Amino acid sequence: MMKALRIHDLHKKYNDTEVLKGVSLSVNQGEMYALMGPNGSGKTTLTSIIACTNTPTSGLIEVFGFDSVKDAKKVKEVIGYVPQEKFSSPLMTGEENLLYFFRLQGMSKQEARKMSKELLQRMDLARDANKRVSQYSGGMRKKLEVATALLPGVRLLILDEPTTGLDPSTRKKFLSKIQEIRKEGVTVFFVTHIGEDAEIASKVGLIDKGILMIEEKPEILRKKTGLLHVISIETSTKNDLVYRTLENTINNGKLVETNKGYKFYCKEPEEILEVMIRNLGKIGCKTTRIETTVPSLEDVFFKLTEKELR
Amino acid sequence: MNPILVSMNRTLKEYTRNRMIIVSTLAVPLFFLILLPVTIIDIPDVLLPQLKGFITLTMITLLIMSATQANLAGFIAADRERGLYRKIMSMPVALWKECTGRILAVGIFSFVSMILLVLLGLIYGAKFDFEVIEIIMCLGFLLLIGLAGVGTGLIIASFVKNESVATHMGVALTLVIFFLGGMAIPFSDLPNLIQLFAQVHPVSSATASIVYLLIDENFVGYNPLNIGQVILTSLLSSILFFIGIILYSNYFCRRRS
Repeated sequence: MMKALRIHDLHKKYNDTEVLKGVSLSVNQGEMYALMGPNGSGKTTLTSIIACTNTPTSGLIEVFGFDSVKDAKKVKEVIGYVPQEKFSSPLMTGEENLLYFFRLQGMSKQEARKMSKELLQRMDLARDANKRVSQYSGGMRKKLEVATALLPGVRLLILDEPTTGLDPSTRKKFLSKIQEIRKEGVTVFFVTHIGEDAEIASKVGLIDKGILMIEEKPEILRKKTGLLHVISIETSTKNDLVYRTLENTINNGKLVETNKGYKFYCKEPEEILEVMIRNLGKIGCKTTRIETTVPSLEDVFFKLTEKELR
Repeated sequence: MNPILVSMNRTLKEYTRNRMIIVSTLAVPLFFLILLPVTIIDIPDVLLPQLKGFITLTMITLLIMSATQANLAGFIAADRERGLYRKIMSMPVALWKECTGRILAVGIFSFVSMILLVLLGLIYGAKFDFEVIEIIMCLGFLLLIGLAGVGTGLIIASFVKNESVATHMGVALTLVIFFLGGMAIPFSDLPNLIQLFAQVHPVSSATASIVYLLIDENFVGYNPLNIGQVILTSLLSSILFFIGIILYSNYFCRRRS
């Protein structure tokens, strides 16, 4: 299968700081690839290099066989990039924004109008085409910005944190649009720190401190890390005694402190839950919330790095 | 359509739809044009039309400086803040064409606003004495003011990433040039060092040249049309413009490496 994106031993240094440390990954044509990592892990730098707005210090990066450094012009013709920021103009209407981007790339007025109408329809924005973007909701604006990247000839859609700032229901609708785009044959590469978003990807890469730790299908990632259940617990107090009590209760498995409480992974949660609440009660600590869930990709990341994505 | 025209079209839309730009570029000079002659009471009636002409011309300079130094800088900084440059850099588009479109749009916006100011000035009783050749020379000096303003605006935008800071810096610089450049305070009342600044800064010296040509040399306080002065003004305007273009190219048109 043809590779939409091939990255080999990519390094990026800013002065003495190495932001990317030999990243290698590949994305097949038609695939949806999610790159997950916490803030400062190198996600945006990697994305900006793929999108030709940044150059690597060393290493190879190919988009549909074109070298992103030497053949940047050809690469730019096949990629559609949507940066993290809201780059559309709030003073122009949705349609005017699309016309600007399309005509800037050399489309005739007629072609651009036809294309923008089609895309506004496809993104469910046709009714709001003549409204100024300042009147758009966050989700509408993001869909419009994705539309700017869907010119004919675009084969790789690159989205940097596309769902940041969107409420859960808008996020779901937005992601289903992205899935539709993928079904139409466009390869999608997106960056996120939301595990739930990455679930829709056919392959997920986890990056931390500039190193791509693992890349696999979401379900295989879970299996590989041996995660079956996650117990999240929030307590009235957080201190060493609470930590030790919980640690003694769980016997095997690793307990990790989170922002709000504690978290650990186990095979049979039913046995532990009761004992845990009882033991905490003995030391005068109240359990304010306890939850057993199927591990998400954020948990997979947590298990590997002991870092939270959000 | 040529990317230059597309960019120009977009910038014009943004400029004409942005209330802040309209107020700071057009409304403020219009306000002062109406207000200032009324506030000056000890001037003989015979000089009033010339004074109104002088104020019209200095307000045109204020307008061009606001449009270029303050609003162009703020506009570019805003686009950078919201990731538009990163988006454009990922597209098969030459950034210099996009920049040229912006500059042309600012030129057109300033020119149309200038015509409005001149018309209002004439209605208000401003008097200009000129021959056709002097109008052509004045257009040349206006171009120099524009070049210096655009250059300064691009320099500010290259270093300042925040829209608000860039705009305020441009406004502050505009006011400094306006007050120290012999436009708000008569040249003869300025201290020697400030007089030197007024003669050297291309915006103030080009304005002085226009006033010298269209009003009267008494409103200027020195002869800005001697060959040395004209060469200095042209040279410094061009230098400011090219420094702005070079910095803009370095900060915006190149991929980070």
